[in-house]
Amino acid sequence: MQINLPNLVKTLGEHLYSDPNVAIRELLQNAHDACEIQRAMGSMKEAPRISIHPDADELVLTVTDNGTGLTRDQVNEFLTVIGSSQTHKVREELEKLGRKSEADRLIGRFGLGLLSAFTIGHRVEFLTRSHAPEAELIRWWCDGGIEWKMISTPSDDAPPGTSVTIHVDPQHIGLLNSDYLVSTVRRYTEFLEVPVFVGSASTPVNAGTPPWAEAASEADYRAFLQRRYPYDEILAVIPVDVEDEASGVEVRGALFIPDSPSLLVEEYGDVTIYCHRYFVCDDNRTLLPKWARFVRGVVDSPNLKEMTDREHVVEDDAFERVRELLGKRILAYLDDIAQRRPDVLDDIVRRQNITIKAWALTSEELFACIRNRAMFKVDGGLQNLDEYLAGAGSPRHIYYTSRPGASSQFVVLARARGTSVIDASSFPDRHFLEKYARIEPDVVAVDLDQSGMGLFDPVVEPPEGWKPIERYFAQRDVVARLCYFEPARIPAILTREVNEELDLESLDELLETPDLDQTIKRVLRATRDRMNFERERRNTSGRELNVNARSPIVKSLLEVELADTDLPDVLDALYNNAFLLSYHGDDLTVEILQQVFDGQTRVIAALIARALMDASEDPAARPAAAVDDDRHVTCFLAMPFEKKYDDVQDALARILSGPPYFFEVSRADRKYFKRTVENNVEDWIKRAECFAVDISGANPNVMMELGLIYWNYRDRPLLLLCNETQEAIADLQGMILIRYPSEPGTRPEDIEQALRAEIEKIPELRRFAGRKRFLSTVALDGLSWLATGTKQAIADAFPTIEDFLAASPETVRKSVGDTLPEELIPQLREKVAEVAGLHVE
Amino acid sequence: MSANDLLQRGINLYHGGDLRESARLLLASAVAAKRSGDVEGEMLALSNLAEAYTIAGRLEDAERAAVQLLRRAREKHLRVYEVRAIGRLAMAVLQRDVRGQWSELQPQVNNSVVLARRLQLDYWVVQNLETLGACAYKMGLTERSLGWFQQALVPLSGAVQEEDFFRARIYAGLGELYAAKRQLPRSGEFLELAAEYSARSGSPHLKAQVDLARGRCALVRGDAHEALARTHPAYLAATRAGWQVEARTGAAEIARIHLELKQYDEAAAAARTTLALARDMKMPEAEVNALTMLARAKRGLGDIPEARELLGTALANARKCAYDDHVSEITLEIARTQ
Repeated sequence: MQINLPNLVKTLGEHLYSDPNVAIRELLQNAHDACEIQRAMGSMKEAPRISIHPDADELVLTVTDNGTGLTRDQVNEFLTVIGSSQTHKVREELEKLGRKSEADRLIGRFGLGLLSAFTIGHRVEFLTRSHAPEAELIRWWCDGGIEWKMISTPSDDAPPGTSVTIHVDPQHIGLLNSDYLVSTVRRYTEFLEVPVFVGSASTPVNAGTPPWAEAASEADYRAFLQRRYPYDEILAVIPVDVEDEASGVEVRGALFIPDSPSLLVEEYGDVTIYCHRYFVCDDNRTLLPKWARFVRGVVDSPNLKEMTDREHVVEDDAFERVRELLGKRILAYLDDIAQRRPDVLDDIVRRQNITIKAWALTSEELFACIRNRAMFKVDGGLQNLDEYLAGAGSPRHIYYTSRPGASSQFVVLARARGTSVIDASSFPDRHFLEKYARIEPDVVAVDLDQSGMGLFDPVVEPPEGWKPIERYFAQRDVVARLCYFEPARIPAILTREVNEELDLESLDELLETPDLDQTIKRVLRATRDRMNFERERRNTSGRELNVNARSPIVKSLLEVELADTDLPDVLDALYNNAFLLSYHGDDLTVEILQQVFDGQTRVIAALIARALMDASEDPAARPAAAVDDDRHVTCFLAMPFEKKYDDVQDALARILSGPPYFFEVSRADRKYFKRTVENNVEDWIKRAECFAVDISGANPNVMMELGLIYWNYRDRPLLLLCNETQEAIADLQGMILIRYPSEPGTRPEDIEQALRAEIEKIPELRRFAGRKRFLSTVALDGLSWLATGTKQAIADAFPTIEDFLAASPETVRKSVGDTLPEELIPQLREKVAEVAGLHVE
Repeated sequence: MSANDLLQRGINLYHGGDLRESARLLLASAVAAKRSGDVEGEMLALSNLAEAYTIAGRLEDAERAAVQLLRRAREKHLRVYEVRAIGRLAMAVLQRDVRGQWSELQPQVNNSVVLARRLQLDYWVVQNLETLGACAYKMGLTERSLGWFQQALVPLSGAVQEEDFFRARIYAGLGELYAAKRQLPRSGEFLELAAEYSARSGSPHLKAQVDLARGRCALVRGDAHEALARTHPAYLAATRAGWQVEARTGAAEIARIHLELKQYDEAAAAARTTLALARDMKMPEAEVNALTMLARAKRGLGDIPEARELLGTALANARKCAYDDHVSEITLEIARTQ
């Protein structure tokens, strides 16, 4: 068989050794074993030592030891045959002789050490002299091919030992940096007894003995760990010194629990592994049990076996056993401090709160250890379950919420009943509480987000007044339920439907399990059917509004029949209030808040108006200003629906929709609030706070409307119009009549001018100053540069000038579409504000 | 356009070569992010802005952007951005005025390497070590420079972004360093590696940087013709692309080569370009060097009065900046220029 060494080296470099440091590590290991072999042979004249010397100028790295050198035969046997290891052979011999402790000191395993040097260099030189008397000095070198050379010279002067020199490739010059080399060598050899020197330093880099190799105190362990983990704050130290006689597995080391902010999930569970005190790898995350993610540290076990890449360990039976032993040691430690230092355990659980709770779900022992110490958010503070359940009756209830940000409303409800609520919205609190309730026989865990169980009592027979409310919400994908709950001052609570997809899937999976008991399957099927039914019944939005039948507001809502126009406002406000109380998550944007706020304002005004109307028997006594201060003013036009009145209507619109009035001027045919003409007109009149009635021609409908206005709304300004050609009606002669020209050839401007002159004389119309300004195209007339279509789009999108000015440029742009360049929006806002006499930010 | 869109577009543009527009967009992104309270967005924009300014040769602006980033990072206790800020600042300072700011900046960069290691920001470990190495080399601290370059190479693995860029620049730096130590074969090995990695990266900017380094080393070897052959195309590429830093370095190198070849007209032209660029970029030491080279060229052309005047200006500048070595050198030149 022939070996293609260059190719083999390349393969090793690329696939076996991912880290070029492996070459340094292998050479150190060989040097160490050479010293230990010599020590085992009992012929060590000097103290063993290893030195490693970098030369960046010459690009060479030399590792020298004074251990057992090699004879010519040994060079032939061990250097020139890949995979042949002197260490391996000596270990076997020592073990045969029963000298296990000496065998254990040897750390080499594969006989590939020299080969790894070719991953960083192109030439390796080997200078060695055995301790045997009259041993020759042998020089062996290889340039990475299949050829190698060896010469030997008699030399009594050369000291016994071995010196390996690697001619390093330029791209690996970084390895020859002294500082770097010191840290690398220290990492590998820190716990080895043979001293290792780097460069010309007179002190070894590996003076340390691990605390588990001597009778160390906890303080020693702590100091050791603090040096190893300078960035961690150490909360608790767990010394490890375990020997399992049955399996022969030994494990030693130093574990610790780092301090960690209790609200962060920072998982550790990583260990640095040593084998025979020689470094194997950092950041191993499989050796500690999975649940020990709050622990980290250093583990040394002679039973762990490195993989050929020297960067991992073999996960064999011994590895499993080491893991078990470490798990037991950690639990024993926790049990021990629970007895001796409960404050320390409390501290650990509090600081590692989320991590430890989460992983306790996977380990019964850990769960048992911490279940009454884990902390939960309760009413703005933290409590463990012992504290939470203290004084509870039987069964003991744990009330919790599982939706982010939803806890506040349930806290209010529960407090009204004298109970606290746990905010279990963060993982893994809900699962922890459920597990706790499963284990503790008299504890019931109640997720208020899922059921609101115990807080809402349904109203069995809702009154008639409930139906339109329920219908209204149903149209908006909200399930409304009338129920009783405390406190009565809260009219409604919004809950969210549970996402049952997962549960349903789990049920389906369970149902397919062949060996599941049939009785259980029946129960599961019934549950699944119920959940499916519920899901279909419910809306897709997943929102449920629990309306409180005890609330005075709700009571009045159920008793009073609101106008169709008012009902949506009131119900929206009810919903918005509940929404505000229920949620404080990211989706509560400024826009939503603005909508909620505007809705609330409208309904408050409407309710005040209603209250005032109800308080007064005499319609004439109703003060106009109290109708709805937050709305713009509507001026209702009562005039025949005939073309010849169009000019008058337009003139009135131009006058009253513009400054200084900004009224909405409309006839009853512009928008229908009710299905019948009479009702619609009546509704318009109710809504209006100012009237313009044209009695020219004494149209019967107009006269009826005038009567309605005159007798019911005397407090509200009334403009009585009549063209100049018409005789005034006798019974109305006491009223001020506004005349306008109507001869043939009269221009619309003439009508407007005449009306404006008269209207300006009416001070009553100015009493609405301070009210919101209706935004009509008339108000935008002054903006000649603005396209008519854009003006109309703006007027359609924004009821009032105030609404327009409060809207973000983005909202304006969305309303108007692409017709208005974005950069013109600020200018537009300024102009509109100017027209309205307002200041704009 | 959102702050993030501006940022992305700005980054795209400086990668695409439109440095002026890139800087404008990145500045707008930083302002927009600040207005909307997006601290991280603002910092990202500032960091990229500092880089764009550095590439474009607006070194003082780059320093200002980096300092602003540093201030914000410290205000907000965002250590990651603190590391970036120091890195950006050091990169700008390395180009503009390393001698003036080295003593103040070096400990900060050192600390930021420690911090970057702790935060596992390998990219910035390498970047800051490379900058330290380059700064030390400029200051004539060869061994320290070697140490830093070596350390910069260690964390480089496939996991570090822009590994090819870093390797090319560090190997080029090592090539120059060994050339300065007169270990020319070793220098050649590293320059070959630098060329290999720059070719692998496919970046014309990096190629120009490496070619300039190879040109400088060729001149050290005494091969002025090779030096010119390497430097001239790199200078032209830099001028065309607006990489002012490389354009100035290239012009200075060309002046030096022509002086070596006793081609004084060409040397004077290149030195004048260098002087203009150095003044434009507010690089005091580069300005002193350019004045000295221009004076040498003038002396070669027989224009002794102008040569002396130029040397007088150079001497005054060197004294003002306390460049003692330059003061001695220029004084000697003045003595030679009779």
